[in-house]
Amino acid sequence: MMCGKSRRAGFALLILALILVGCAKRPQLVQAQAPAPTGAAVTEPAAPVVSPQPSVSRAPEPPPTSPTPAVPTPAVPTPPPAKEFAEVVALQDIYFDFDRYDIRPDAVSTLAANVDWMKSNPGALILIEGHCDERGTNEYNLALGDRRAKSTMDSLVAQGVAADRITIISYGEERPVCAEHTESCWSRNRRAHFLAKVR
Amino acid sequence: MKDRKDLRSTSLLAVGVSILSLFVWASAVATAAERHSGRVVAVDAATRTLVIDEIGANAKEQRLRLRLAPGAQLVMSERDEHPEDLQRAFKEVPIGLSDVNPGDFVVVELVKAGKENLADLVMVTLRR
Repeated sequence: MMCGKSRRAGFALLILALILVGCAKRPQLVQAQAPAPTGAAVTEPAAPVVSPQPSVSRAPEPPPTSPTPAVPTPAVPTPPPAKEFAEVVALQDIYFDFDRYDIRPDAVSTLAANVDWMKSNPGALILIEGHCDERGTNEYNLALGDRRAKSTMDSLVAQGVAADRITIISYGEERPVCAEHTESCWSRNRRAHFLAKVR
Repeated sequence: MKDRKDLRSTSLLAVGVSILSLFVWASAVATAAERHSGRVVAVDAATRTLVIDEIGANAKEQRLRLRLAPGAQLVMSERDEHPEDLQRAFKEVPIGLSDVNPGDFVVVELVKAGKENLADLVMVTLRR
């Protein structure tokens, strides 16, 4: 009697485990772990992780954790919405040193000018993109780009821009502006890029 | 005596389930897609292969040869002038392998199939 119950329980456990295993997510890309926030320089993460999409977060909310595979979106001619994120000439990129995410002294004046524009356009929502050069793995650079976007956001907030106006996104190394294997090219790719959406 | 036997069979089943789960998990991890990016060095339409140069971990340059998996997605990704969604700041337009050129910067998602790299996705993100 006991034996039968035990076996039934065992089989139920087995079936449950198989169902759970069968329902496991497809080979999924793991969100890159951000480097330790203790310093500006970051170190290579031990385990390789992959993220299929840029990581996005809207301050002060945490970034989404359910990446989906990139799917080509056919070009459908739809009229653009009246208000959308767009490049603003007044918002200039800032650049970072290799493998670092602290704000460089030469970026301070650029950021101050960007802050001036944001304060004079208080209704504008800001998107900060963090980018990296191609050195390092994709997942590492996704995390580094996230750090760059966050430190840029922190600087803006410290200068009086409301955090709830800012969204950050990391593209890692995957959206370069140049592809040469030279320091001058890499330095152009290590950047925070700004978009704005006027409400 | 009987209780001990029951306990033993239950334990064996639990161990079996655990081992089975571990194997399935390990195989799922082993086939997880890897994401790489770099500059296209060569394209061979006949064999549906690509060779890209990338600078990966520890800034080490490596040459990656990959073959397109059946049904692989090839897209050209460009900044969308009118993004409606933050997740879609770039728009992807389907392309063919003949549209991928040496010098293009591409992002690829690949899985290992034995010693071969099979690409599920090739996304051109910079054209020069």
